[in-house]
Amino acid sequence: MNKRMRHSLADRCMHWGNALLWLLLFFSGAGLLQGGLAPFGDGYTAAVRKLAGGGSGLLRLHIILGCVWMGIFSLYIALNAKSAASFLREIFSVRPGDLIWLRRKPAIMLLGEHRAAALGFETKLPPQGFYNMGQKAFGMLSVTAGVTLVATGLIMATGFAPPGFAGWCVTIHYIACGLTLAGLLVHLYMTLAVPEERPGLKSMFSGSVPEDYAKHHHANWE
Amino acid sequence: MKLAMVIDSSRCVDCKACMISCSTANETPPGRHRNWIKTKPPEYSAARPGGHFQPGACMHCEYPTCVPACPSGATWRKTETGEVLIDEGLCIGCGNCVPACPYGARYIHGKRRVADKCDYCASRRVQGLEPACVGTCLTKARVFGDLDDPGSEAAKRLGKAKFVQLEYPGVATRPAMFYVKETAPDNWMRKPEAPASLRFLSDFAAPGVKTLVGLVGFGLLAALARVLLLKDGDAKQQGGAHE
Ligand code: HEM
Ligand code: SF4
Ligand code: SF4
Ligand code: SF4
Repeated sequence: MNKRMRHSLADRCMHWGNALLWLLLFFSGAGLLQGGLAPFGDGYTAAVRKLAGGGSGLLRLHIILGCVWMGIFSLYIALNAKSAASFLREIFSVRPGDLIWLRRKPAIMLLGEHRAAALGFETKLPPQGFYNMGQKAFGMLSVTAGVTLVATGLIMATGFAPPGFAGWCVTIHYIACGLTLAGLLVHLYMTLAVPEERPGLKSMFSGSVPEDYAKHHHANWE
Repeated sequence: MKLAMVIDSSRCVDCKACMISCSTANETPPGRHRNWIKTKPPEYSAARPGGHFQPGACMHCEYPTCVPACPSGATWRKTETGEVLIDEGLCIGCGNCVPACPYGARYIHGKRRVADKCDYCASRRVQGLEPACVGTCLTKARVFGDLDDPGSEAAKRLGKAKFVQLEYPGVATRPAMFYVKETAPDNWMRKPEAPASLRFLSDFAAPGVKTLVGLVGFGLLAALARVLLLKDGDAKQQGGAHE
Protein backbone atom coordinates (compact mmCIF):
# COMPACT_ATOMS: atom_id res chain seq x y z
CA MET A 1 0.00 0.00 0.00
CA ASN A 2 1.27 3.45 -0.85
CA LYS A 3 2.21 5.69 2.06
CA ARG A 4 2.04 9.42 2.20
CA MET A 5 4.22 11.53 4.50
CA ARG A 6 2.07 13.48 6.96
CA HIS A 7 4.17 14.57 9.94
CA SER A 8 7.93 15.19 9.82
CA LEU A 9 10.10 13.93 12.67
CA ALA A 10 10.38 17.46 14.08
CA ASP A 11 6.59 17.88 13.96
CA ARG A 12 6.09 14.58 15.79
CA CYS A 13 8.64 15.47 18.48
CA MET A 14 6.97 18.84 18.85
CA HIS A 15 3.53 17.27 19.18
CA TRP A 16 4.50 14.71 21.82
CA GLY A 17 6.70 17.17 23.72
CA ASN A 18 3.84 19.64 23.74
CA ALA A 19 1.35 16.96 24.79
CA LEU A 20 3.54 15.76 27.66
CA LEU A 21 4.13 19.27 28.96
CA TRP A 22 0.48 20.15 28.62
CA LEU A 23 -0.45 17.25 30.85
CA LEU A 24 2.26 18.04 33.40
CA LEU A 25 1.35 21.73 33.38
CA PHE A 26 -2.33 20.93 33.74
CA PHE A 27 -1.94 18.59 36.68
CA SER A 28 0.54 20.84 38.48
CA GLY A 29 -1.52 23.96 37.73
CA ALA A 30 -4.68 22.31 39.06
CA GLY A 31 -2.92 21.93 42.40
CA LEU A 32 -2.30 25.67 42.59
CA LEU A 33 -6.01 26.41 42.80
CA GLN A 34 -8.07 26.04 45.91
CA GLY A 35 -11.65 26.26 47.10
CA GLY A 36 -14.32 26.57 44.44
CA LEU A 37 -11.66 27.07 41.78
CA ALA A 38 -9.83 23.79 42.39
CA PRO A 39 -10.77 21.50 39.48
CA PHE A 40 -10.29 18.30 41.50
CA GLY A 41 -11.12 19.74 44.90
CA ASP A 42 -9.01 20.75 47.87
CA GLY A 43 -7.92 17.17 48.60
CA TYR A 44 -6.11 16.94 45.28
CA THR A 45 -4.60 20.39 45.83
CA ALA A 46 -3.27 19.40 49.25
CA ALA A 47 -1.87 16.10 47.94
CA VAL A 48 -0.02 17.64 44.98
CA ARG A 49 1.38 20.42 47.13
CA LYS A 50 2.70 17.86 49.56
CA LEU A 51 4.35 15.94 46.73
CA ALA A 52 6.02 19.11 45.49
CA GLY A 53 7.25 20.10 48.93
CA GLY A 54 4.59 22.72 49.67
CA GLY A 55 2.65 25.24 47.65
CA SER A 56 5.68 27.35 46.81
CA GLY A 57 7.52 24.26 45.58
CA LEU A 58 4.56 23.46 43.34
CA LEU A 59 4.45 26.98 41.94
CA ARG A 60 8.18 26.83 41.22
CA LEU A 61 7.71 23.47 39.48
CA HIS A 62 4.81 24.82 37.41
CA ILE A 63 6.89 27.81 36.31
CA ILE A 64 9.86 25.61 35.41
CA LEU A 65 7.58 23.33 33.36
CA GLY A 66 6.20 26.42 31.63
CA CYS A 67 9.74 27.50 30.76
CA VAL A 68 10.53 24.04 29.36
CA TRP A 69 7.34 24.26 27.29
CA MET A 70 8.34 27.67 25.93
CA GLY A 71 11.80 26.25 25.25
CA ILE A 72 10.38 23.39 23.15
CA PHE A 73 8.28 25.86 21.17
CA SER A 74 11.17 28.24 20.62
CA LEU A 75 13.47 25.43 19.51
CA TYR A 76 10.86 24.07 17.11
CA ILE A 77 10.19 27.47 15.60
CA ALA A 78 13.89 28.31 15.35
CA LEU A 79 14.69 25.05 13.54
CA ASN A 80 11.46 24.69 11.54
CA ALA A 81 10.26 28.20 10.80
CA LYS A 82 8.92 26.99 7.45
CA SER A 83 6.79 24.10 8.64
CA ALA A 84 5.62 26.11 11.66
CA ALA A 85 4.43 28.79 9.26
CA SER A 86 2.70 26.30 6.98
CA PHE A 87 1.03 24.67 10.00
CA LEU A 88 -0.31 28.06 11.10
CA ARG A 89 -1.43 28.89 7.56
CA GLU A 90 -3.23 25.54 7.33
CA ILE A 91 -5.09 25.67 10.63
CA PHE A 92 -6.12 29.31 10.27
CA SER A 93 -7.51 28.95 6.75
CA VAL A 94 -11.22 28.25 6.68
CA ARG A 95 -12.32 27.08 3.23
CA PRO A 96 -15.75 26.87 1.60
CA GLY A 97 -17.67 23.96 3.07
CA ASP A 98 -15.70 23.90 6.33
CA LEU A 99 -18.44 25.49 8.39
CA ILE A 100 -20.99 23.08 6.96
CA TRP A 101 -18.63 20.26 7.96
CA LEU A 102 -18.44 21.66 11.48
CA ARG A 103 -22.22 21.93 11.75
CA ARG A 104 -22.93 18.41 10.52
CA LYS A 105 -20.17 16.51 12.25
CA PRO A 106 -21.43 16.57 15.90
CA ALA A 107 -24.69 14.77 15.14
CA ILE A 108 -22.79 12.09 13.24
CA MET A 109 -20.34 11.68 16.12
CA LEU A 110 -23.07 11.46 18.71
CA LEU A 111 -25.64 9.33 16.88
CA GLY A 112 -23.68 7.48 14.24
CA GLU A 113 -24.20 8.18 10.58
CA HIS A 114 -27.21 5.94 9.91
CA ARG A 115 -29.13 6.98 12.97
CA ALA A 116 -28.33 10.65 12.34
CA ALA A 117 -29.58 10.33 8.77
CA ALA A 118 -32.68 8.44 9.92
CA LEU A 119 -33.42 11.25 12.37
CA GLY A 120 -33.25 13.78 9.57
CA PHE A 121 -29.76 15.15 10.10
CA GLU A 122 -27.76 16.02 7.01
CA THR A 123 -24.80 13.60 6.97
CA LYS A 124 -23.00 14.46 3.74
CA LEU A 125 -19.68 16.01 4.72
CA PRO A 126 -17.84 18.41 2.40
CA PRO A 127 -14.32 17.19 1.48
CA GLN A 128 -11.55 18.34 3.78
CA GLY A 129 -7.93 19.44 3.34
CA PHE A 130 -4.75 18.43 5.18
CA TYR A 131 -6.68 18.96 8.42
CA ASN A 132 -10.44 18.76 8.70
CA MET A 133 -12.31 21.70 10.18
CA GLY A 134 -12.49 20.06 13.62
CA GLN A 135 -8.72 19.61 13.70
CA LYS A 136 -8.24 23.15 12.46
CA ALA A 137 -10.56 24.51 15.13
CA PHE A 138 -8.59 22.68 17.80
CA GLY A 139 -5.38 23.95 16.23
CA MET A 140 -6.64 27.55 16.37
CA LEU A 141 -7.77 27.07 19.93
CA SER A 142 -4.56 25.51 21.21
CA VAL A 143 -2.32 28.04 19.44
CA THR A 144 -4.31 31.05 20.64
CA ALA A 145 -4.67 29.64 24.13
CA GLY A 146 -0.99 28.68 24.20
CA VAL A 147 0.10 32.24 23.40
CA THR A 148 -2.35 33.57 25.98
CA LEU A 149 -1.17 31.13 28.64
CA VAL A 150 2.46 32.05 28.02
CA ALA A 151 1.75 35.80 28.12
CA THR A 152 -0.37 35.72 31.29
CA GLY A 153 1.95 33.15 32.88
CA LEU A 154 5.00 35.32 32.27
CA ILE A 155 3.24 38.34 33.75
CA MET A 156 2.25 36.40 36.87
CA ALA A 157 5.65 34.73 37.27
CA THR A 158 7.65 37.91 36.88
CA GLY A 159 5.14 40.22 38.54
CA PHE A 160 5.74 42.54 35.62
CA ALA A 161 2.35 44.24 35.75
CA PRO A 162 0.30 46.55 37.93
CA PRO A 163 -1.48 44.53 40.67
CA GLY A 164 -4.99 44.78 39.23
CA PHE A 165 -3.76 43.40 35.93
CA ALA A 166 -2.09 40.38 37.51
CA GLY A 167 -5.51 39.54 38.98
CA TRP A 168 -6.98 39.49 35.48
CA CYS A 169 -4.10 37.30 34.36
CA VAL A 170 -5.24 34.64 36.84
CA THR A 171 -8.73 34.77 35.34
CA ILE A 172 -7.55 34.74 31.72
CA HIS A 173 -5.03 31.94 32.39
CA TYR A 174 -7.84 29.85 33.87
CA ILE A 175 -10.21 30.45 30.94
CA ALA A 176 -7.54 29.75 28.30
CA CYS A 177 -6.64 26.48 29.99
CA GLY A 178 -10.29 25.47 30.48
CA LEU A 179 -11.28 26.07 26.86
CA THR A 180 -8.27 24.11 25.62
CA LEU A 181 -9.17 21.31 27.99
CA ALA A 182 -12.67 21.08 26.49
CA GLY A 183 -11.12 20.94 23.02
CA LEU A 184 -8.55 18.42 24.21
CA LEU A 185 -11.29 16.02 25.31
CA VAL A 186 -12.63 16.01 21.76
CA HIS A 187 -9.07 15.66 20.45
CA LEU A 188 -8.39 12.66 22.67
CA TYR A 189 -11.69 11.08 21.69
CA MET A 190 -11.11 11.55 17.97
CA THR A 191 -7.51 10.30 18.05
CA LEU A 192 -7.82 7.49 20.58
CA ALA A 193 -11.40 6.24 20.48
CA VAL A 194 -12.52 6.50 16.86
CA PRO A 195 -11.46 3.35 14.98
CA GLU A 196 -11.59 5.12 11.63
CA GLU A 197 -8.98 7.63 12.71
CA ARG A 198 -6.46 4.95 13.71
CA PRO A 199 -4.16 5.72 10.71
CA GLY A 200 -4.02 9.35 11.86
CA LEU A 201 -2.92 8.23 15.33
CA LYS A 202 -0.28 5.93 13.85
CA SER A 203 0.99 8.79 11.72
CA MET A 204 1.87 10.73 14.85
CA PHE A 205 4.44 7.97 15.50
CA SER A 206 5.51 6.76 12.06
CA GLY A 207 4.98 9.99 10.17
CA SER A 208 2.95 8.63 7.26
CA VAL A 209 -0.58 7.48 6.42
CA PRO A 210 -1.86 5.07 3.75
CA GLU A 211 -2.73 6.78 0.48
CA ASP A 212 -6.38 5.64 0.54
CA TYR A 213 -6.90 7.01 4.07
CA ALA A 214 -5.56 10.36 2.85
CA LYS A 215 -7.91 10.29 -0.17
CA HIS A 216 -10.91 9.31 1.89
CA HIS A 217 -10.42 11.65 4.87
CA HIS A 218 -8.50 14.54 3.44
CA ALA A 219 -9.57 14.61 -0.19
CA ASN A 220 -8.33 18.16 -0.73
CA TRP A 221 -4.88 17.54 0.78
CA GLU A 222 -2.47 18.54 -1.97
CA MET B 1 -1.50 28.16 71.12
CA LYS B 2 -3.48 31.27 70.29
CA LEU B 3 -1.30 34.22 69.39
CA ALA B 4 -2.86 37.62 69.89
CA MET B 5 -2.08 41.26 70.35
CA VAL B 6 -3.73 42.96 73.27
CA ILE B 7 -3.82 46.72 73.03
CA ASP B 8 -4.60 49.33 75.63
CA SER B 9 -5.22 52.19 73.29
CA SER B 10 -5.71 54.67 76.14
CA ARG B 11 -1.95 54.39 76.70
CA CYS B 12 -1.02 55.35 73.15
CA VAL B 13 0.53 58.81 72.82
CA ASP B 14 0.84 58.74 69.01
CA CYS B 15 4.65 58.73 69.07
CA LYS B 16 4.70 56.37 66.08
CA ALA B 17 7.78 54.57 67.39
CA CYS B 18 6.03 51.27 66.61
CA MET B 19 5.58 52.24 62.98
CA ILE B 20 9.21 53.22 62.61
CA SER B 21 10.57 50.13 64.32
CA CYS B 22 8.22 47.90 62.30
CA SER B 23 9.29 49.48 59.04
CA THR B 24 12.95 49.06 59.95
CA ALA B 25 12.60 45.47 61.17
CA ASN B 26 10.53 44.36 58.20
CA GLU B 27 12.07 46.56 55.52
CA THR B 28 8.81 47.99 54.27
CA PRO B 29 9.18 50.15 51.17
CA PRO B 30 8.99 53.94 51.49
CA GLY B 31 5.48 55.14 52.15
CA ARG B 32 4.22 51.66 53.10
CA HIS B 33 3.59 50.40 56.63
CA ARG B 34 2.49 47.17 58.21
CA ASN B 35 0.96 49.01 61.14
CA TRP B 36 -0.72 52.28 61.93
CA ILE B 37 -2.12 54.68 64.48
CA LYS B 38 -5.70 55.78 63.86
CA THR B 39 -6.83 59.02 65.43
CA LYS B 40 -10.16 60.17 66.77
CA PRO B 41 -9.82 63.95 66.87
CA PRO B 42 -11.01 65.62 70.04
CA GLU B 43 -14.35 67.39 69.91
CA TYR B 44 -13.52 70.67 71.56
CA SER B 45 -17.15 71.74 71.73
CA ALA B 46 -17.96 68.75 73.96
CA ALA B 47 -17.65 68.85 77.74
CA ARG B 48 -14.95 66.16 77.58
CA PRO B 49 -13.15 66.62 74.24
CA GLY B 50 -11.81 63.02 74.38
CA GLY B 51 -9.37 62.57 71.52
CA HIS B 52 -8.04 59.02 71.18
CA PHE B 53 -5.18 57.19 69.48
CA GLN B 54 -5.56 53.63 68.34
CA PRO B 55 -2.61 51.44 67.32
CA GLY B 56 -3.38 48.68 64.82
CA ALA B 57 -2.04 46.22 62.26
CA CYS B 58 -3.25 43.02 60.60
CA MET B 59 -5.73 41.56 63.08
CA HIS B 60 -4.89 37.91 62.30
CA CYS B 61 -8.60 37.26 62.03
CA GLU B 62 -10.18 33.97 63.00
CA TYR B 63 -12.36 34.29 59.89
CA PRO B 64 -10.12 36.30 57.60
CA THR B 65 -11.68 37.66 54.42
CA CYS B 66 -8.25 37.84 52.78
CA VAL B 67 -7.82 34.04 52.74
CA PRO B 68 -10.72 33.13 50.42
CA ALA B 69 -9.74 36.04 48.13
CA CYS B 70 -6.35 34.50 47.43
CA PRO B 71 -6.50 32.26 44.35
CA SER B 72 -3.21 30.48 44.98
CA GLY B 73 -3.50 29.80 48.69
CA ALA B 74 -0.43 31.92 49.40
CA THR B 75 -2.47 33.60 52.12
CA TRP B 76 -3.48 31.08 54.73
CA ARG B 77 -4.38 30.77 58.38
CA LYS B 78 -2.29 28.54 60.58
CA THR B 79 -4.95 27.07 62.82
CA GLU B 80 -2.47 25.86 65.45
CA THR B 81 -1.41 29.42 66.29
CA GLY B 82 -4.06 31.61 64.71
CA GLU B 83 -1.51 33.44 62.57
CA VAL B 84 -2.60 34.57 59.11
CA LEU B 85 0.48 34.13 56.93
CA ILE B 86 1.66 34.83 53.40
CA ASP B 87 3.73 32.16 51.69
CA GLU B 88 5.85 34.45 49.56
CA GLY B 89 7.00 31.64 47.30
CA LEU B 90 3.40 30.93 46.38
CA CYS B 91 2.25 34.56 46.13
CA ILE B 92 1.92 35.79 42.57
CA GLY B 93 1.38 39.41 43.58
CA CYS B 94 -2.06 39.48 41.98
CA GLY B 95 -3.32 41.90 44.63
CA ASN B 96 -6.70 40.18 45.08
CA CYS B 97 -6.25 40.11 48.85
CA VAL B 98 -5.62 43.85 49.23
CA PRO B 99 -9.20 45.15 48.86
CA ALA B 100 -10.46 41.95 50.53
CA CYS B 101 -9.17 43.07 53.95
CA PRO B 102 -11.62 45.31 55.82
CA TYR B 103 -8.73 46.87 57.75
CA GLY B 104 -6.50 47.83 54.82
CA ALA B 105 -3.78 45.77 56.47
CA ARG B 106 -2.19 44.63 53.19
CA TYR B 107 -0.28 46.20 50.36
CA ILE B 108 1.70 44.91 47.39
CA HIS B 109 5.42 45.19 47.99
CA GLY B 110 6.59 47.00 44.86
CA LYS B 111 10.07 45.47 44.77
CA ARG B 112 9.40 41.94 45.97
CA ARG B 113 6.14 41.73 43.98
CA VAL B 114 4.28 39.96 46.76
CA ALA B 115 1.58 40.92 49.23
CA ASP B 116 2.92 42.09 52.58
CA LYS B 117 1.42 42.66 56.00
CA CYS B 118 2.10 42.14 59.70
CA ASP B 119 3.33 38.62 60.44
CA TYR B 120 3.87 39.29 64.16
CA CYS B 121 7.52 39.81 63.16
CA ALA B 122 8.06 36.14 62.28
CA SER B 123 11.74 36.71 61.48
CA ARG B 124 12.35 38.26 64.93
CA ARG B 125 10.37 35.63 66.79
CA VAL B 126 12.50 32.78 65.43
CA GLN B 127 15.42 34.55 67.09
CA GLY B 128 13.50 34.68 70.34
CA LEU B 129 12.78 38.41 70.09
CA GLU B 130 9.41 40.04 70.60
CA PRO B 131 7.63 41.83 67.75
CA ALA B 132 9.37 45.13 66.98
CA CYS B 133 6.35 47.31 67.66
CA VAL B 134 5.77 45.68 71.04
CA GLY B 135 9.39 45.91 72.12
CA THR B 136 9.62 49.54 71.16
CA CYS B 137 6.41 50.83 72.73
CA LEU B 138 7.42 52.95 75.74
CA THR B 139 3.94 53.15 77.24
CA LYS B 140 3.29 49.46 76.62
CA ALA B 141 0.14 50.18 74.68
CA ARG B 142 0.80 47.02 72.64
CA VAL B 143 1.52 43.63 74.19
CA PHE B 144 1.75 40.31 72.37
CA GLY B 145 1.66 36.66 73.33
CA ASP B 146 -0.10 33.34 73.58
CA LEU B 147 -3.54 33.62 75.13
CA ASP B 148 -3.41 29.91 76.03
CA ASP B 149 -0.37 30.57 78.22
CA PRO B 150 -1.62 32.27 81.41
CA GLY B 151 1.88 33.67 82.05
CA SER B 152 2.06 35.62 78.78
CA GLU B 153 1.77 39.41 78.76
CA ALA B 154 -1.20 39.15 76.43
CA ALA B 155 -3.09 36.69 78.64
CA LYS B 156 -2.32 38.70 81.76
CA ARG B 157 -3.58 41.92 80.27
CA LEU B 158 -6.66 40.42 78.70
CA GLY B 159 -7.48 38.39 81.81
CA LYS B 160 -11.05 39.11 82.69
CA ALA B 161 -10.91 42.62 81.26
CA LYS B 162 -13.63 43.97 79.03
CA PHE B 163 -12.43 44.20 75.44
CA VAL B 164 -13.47 45.31 71.97
CA GLN B 165 -12.75 43.70 68.63
CA LEU B 166 -13.04 45.98 65.62
CA GLU B 167 -15.27 44.66 62.87
CA TYR B 168 -16.91 46.17 59.83
CA PRO B 169 -20.67 45.92 60.44
CA GLY B 170 -21.90 42.54 59.23
CA VAL B 171 -18.44 41.11 58.56
CA ALA B 172 -17.58 38.83 61.48
CA THR B 173 -13.83 38.48 61.03
CA ARG B 174 -13.21 37.84 64.76
CA PRO B 175 -9.84 39.61 65.04
CA ALA B 176 -7.09 38.31 67.29
CA MET B 177 -6.44 41.90 68.20
CA PHE B 178 -8.12 42.85 71.42
CA TYR B 179 -8.58 46.44 72.58
CA VAL B 180 -9.06 46.39 76.34
CA LYS B 181 -11.80 48.51 77.89
CA GLU B 182 -12.82 50.55 74.88
CA THR B 183 -11.29 52.18 71.86
CA ALA B 184 -11.92 54.76 69.18
CA PRO B 185 -12.31 55.42 66.30
CA ASP B 186 -14.44 52.42 65.32
CA ASN B 187 -15.79 53.53 61.95
CA TRP B 188 -12.75 53.43 59.69
CA MET B 189 -13.07 49.85 58.44
CA ARG B 190 -14.33 49.30 54.93
CA LYS B 191 -16.43 46.71 53.21
CA PRO B 192 -14.19 43.84 52.09
CA GLU B 193 -14.29 43.54 48.36
CA ALA B 194 -13.34 40.80 45.99
CA PRO B 195 -11.75 42.43 42.96
CA ALA B 196 -13.73 42.32 39.71
CA SER B 197 -11.27 39.83 38.17
CA LEU B 198 -11.79 37.37 41.01
CA ARG B 199 -15.58 37.83 41.07
CA PHE B 200 -15.67 37.23 37.33
CA LEU B 201 -13.52 34.15 37.74
CA SER B 202 -15.46 32.52 40.55
CA ASP B 203 -18.97 33.62 39.50
CA PHE B 204 -18.80 33.19 35.72
CA ALA B 205 -15.58 31.84 34.29
CA ALA B 206 -15.07 28.85 36.58
CA PRO B 207 -18.68 27.58 36.49
CA GLY B 208 -18.79 28.28 32.75
CA VAL B 209 -15.61 26.36 32.04
CA LYS B 210 -16.70 23.49 34.28
CA THR B 211 -20.08 23.27 32.58
CA LEU B 212 -18.48 23.34 29.15
CA VAL B 213 -15.94 20.65 30.01
CA GLY B 214 -18.71 18.61 31.63
CA LEU B 215 -21.04 18.86 28.62
CA VAL B 216 -18.28 18.03 26.16
CA GLY B 217 -17.16 15.12 28.32
CA PHE B 218 -20.71 13.86 28.63
CA GLY B 219 -21.29 14.11 24.88
CA LEU B 220 -18.10 12.20 24.19
CA LEU B 221 -18.97 9.50 26.70
CA ALA B 222 -22.33 9.11 24.99
CA ALA B 223 -20.60 8.88 21.61
CA LEU B 224 -18.11 6.38 23.01
CA ALA B 225 -20.88 4.29 24.53
CA ARG B 226 -22.61 4.24 21.16
CA VAL B 227 -19.46 3.11 19.37
CA LEU B 228 -18.71 0.41 21.95
CA LEU B 229 -22.18 -0.85 22.84
CA LEU B 230 -24.31 -0.44 19.73
CA LYS B 231 -22.27 -2.45 17.31
CA ASP B 232 -24.71 -1.62 14.54
CA GLY B 233 -22.16 -1.14 11.82
CA ASP B 234 -22.07 2.57 12.33
CA ALA B 235 -18.73 2.43 14.05
CA LYS B 236 -17.00 1.82 10.75
CA GLN B 237 -18.76 4.80 9.30
CA GLN B 238 -17.80 6.99 12.25
CA GLY B 239 -15.97 9.51 10.14
CA GLY B 240 -19.17 10.13 8.23
CA ALA B 241 -19.83 9.95 4.54
CA HIS B 242 -17.74 11.94 2.15
CA GLU B 243 -18.90 13.59 -1.00
C1 HEM C 1 -1.72 12.62 24.92
C2 HEM C 1 -2.70 12.43 24.13
C3 HEM C 1 -2.71 12.94 22.68
C4 HEM C 1 -2.85 12.16 21.60
C5 HEM C 1 -3.03 10.65 21.58
C6 HEM C 1 -2.80 13.02 20.44
C7 HEM C 1 -2.89 12.57 19.13
C8 HEM C 1 -2.80 13.36 17.99
C9 HEM C 1 -2.79 12.90 16.65
C10 HEM C 1 -2.89 11.44 16.22
C11 HEM C 1 -2.70 13.97 15.83
C12 HEM C 1 -2.63 13.95 14.29
C13 HEM C 1 -3.95 14.05 13.65
C14 HEM C 1 -3.79 13.90 12.16
O1 HEM C 1 -2.69 14.06 11.65
O2 HEM C 1 -4.79 13.63 11.48
C15 HEM C 1 -2.64 15.15 16.65
C16 HEM C 1 -2.57 16.44 16.18
C17 HEM C 1 -2.58 17.56 17.00
N1 HEM C 1 -2.51 17.57 18.38
FE1 HEM C 1 -2.58 15.94 19.59
N2 HEM C 1 -2.64 14.30 20.85
C18 HEM C 1 -2.56 14.31 22.23
C19 HEM C 1 -2.42 15.42 23.03
C20 HEM C 1 -2.38 16.74 22.56
C21 HEM C 1 -2.32 17.89 23.41
C22 HEM C 1 -2.26 17.88 24.94
C23 HEM C 1 -2.35 18.99 22.59
C24 HEM C 1 -2.33 20.45 22.94
C25 HEM C 1 -3.11 21.02 23.77
C26 HEM C 1 -2.43 18.50 21.22
C27 HEM C 1 -2.48 19.32 20.11
C28 HEM C 1 -2.54 18.87 18.80
C29 HEM C 1 -2.66 19.75 17.64
C30 HEM C 1 -2.78 21.28 17.71
C31 HEM C 1 -2.68 18.93 16.52
C32 HEM C 1 -2.81 19.37 15.06
C33 HEM C 1 -4.22 19.74 14.72
C34 HEM C 1 -5.17 18.64 14.97
O3 HEM C 1 -4.93 17.49 14.58
O4 HEM C 1 -6.20 18.91 15.61
N3 HEM C 1 -2.44 17.13 21.24
N4 HEM C 1 -2.72 14.74 17.98
S1 SF4 D 1 -6.77 41.90 59.21
FE1 SF4 D 1 -7.02 41.73 57.02
S2 SF4 D 1 -5.12 40.83 56.32
FE2 SF4 D 1 -5.20 40.48 58.52
S3 SF4 D 1 -6.15 38.45 58.72
FE3 SF4 D 1 -7.79 39.95 58.89
S4 SF4 D 1 -8.58 40.11 56.79
FE4 SF4 D 1 -6.56 39.15 56.65
S1 SF4 E 1 -1.24 38.99 46.17
FE1 SF4 E 1 -2.55 38.30 47.85
S2 SF4 E 1 -4.22 37.22 46.79
FE2 SF4 E 1 -2.58 37.39 45.30
S3 SF4 E 1 -1.40 35.49 45.53
FE3 SF4 E 1 -0.42 37.01 46.88
S4 SF4 E 1 -1.36 36.69 48.87
FE4 SF4 E 1 -2.68 35.68 47.37
S1 SF4 F 1 4.21 42.58 65.02
FE1 SF4 F 1 5.96 43.16 63.76
S2 SF4 F 1 5.12 43.18 61.70
FE2 SF4 F 1 3.36 43.26 63.07
S3 SF4 F 1 2.96 45.44 63.34
FE3 SF4 F 1 4.32 44.83 65.02
S4 SF4 F 1 6.35 45.28 64.24
FE4 SF4 F 1 5.02 45.29 62.47
